[in-house]
Amino acid sequence: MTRILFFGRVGERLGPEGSLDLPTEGSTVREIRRLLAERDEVAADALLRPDVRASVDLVVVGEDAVARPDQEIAFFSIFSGG
Amino acid sequence: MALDVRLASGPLSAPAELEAFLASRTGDGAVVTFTGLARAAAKDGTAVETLTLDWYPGMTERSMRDIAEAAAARFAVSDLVVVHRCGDIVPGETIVFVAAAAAHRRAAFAAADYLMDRLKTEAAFWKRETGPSGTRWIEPVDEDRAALARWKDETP
Repeated sequence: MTRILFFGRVGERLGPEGSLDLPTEGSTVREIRRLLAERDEVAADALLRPDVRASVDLVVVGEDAVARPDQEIAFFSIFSGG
Repeated sequence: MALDVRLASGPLSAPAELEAFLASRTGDGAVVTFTGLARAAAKDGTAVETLTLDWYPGMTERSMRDIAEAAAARFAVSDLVVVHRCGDIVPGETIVFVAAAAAHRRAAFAAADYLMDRLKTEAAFWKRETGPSGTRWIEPVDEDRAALARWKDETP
């Protein structure tokens, strides 16, 4: 299972992390988001928002980016700034 | 050029940071600092008991460093310090300290101003205010975005 991290409003709703079985070749952020959102209404409401972004290995990426199981994947609400 | 960029989970002392930054500095004619404090009231006037800055270990530090590197590339500064708190902060405590050293004051003022405008909008934090009526998330306001936009039209 690959750990998925959540921050900001997403972390508040879903807790600091979740997990998902990813194929060895990886999946797109769009697919990972869809699979996580399918689990329940809370996850869908927290993740299916245009201002919820994703990162792979600490780099903010778009929906077409591919993440492999050995990479660090996170979803988060828009940064507030400091 | 030295860039000292740090995330602090405990108290941040602006005087101690400034003292360390000034020590043995003989080549610069100017040091400008900014100290940001947690306020006891939200924008709408309601009381704030705790300000919480959530962060993403690794990403938050990288976002701060990217901003510091951009400032260093843009202004004729010799050294920069950026220290930002994370976690729970109470009113009156220091949230952020920046310092810029330069041969001449204008570059140091500009670099500190630029650092703060970008940190306030682009640093990877998620900020919440907790008061008697509960907790609410804070996002950059138009005023912060307008401050940031000032730097877009100017040549580096």
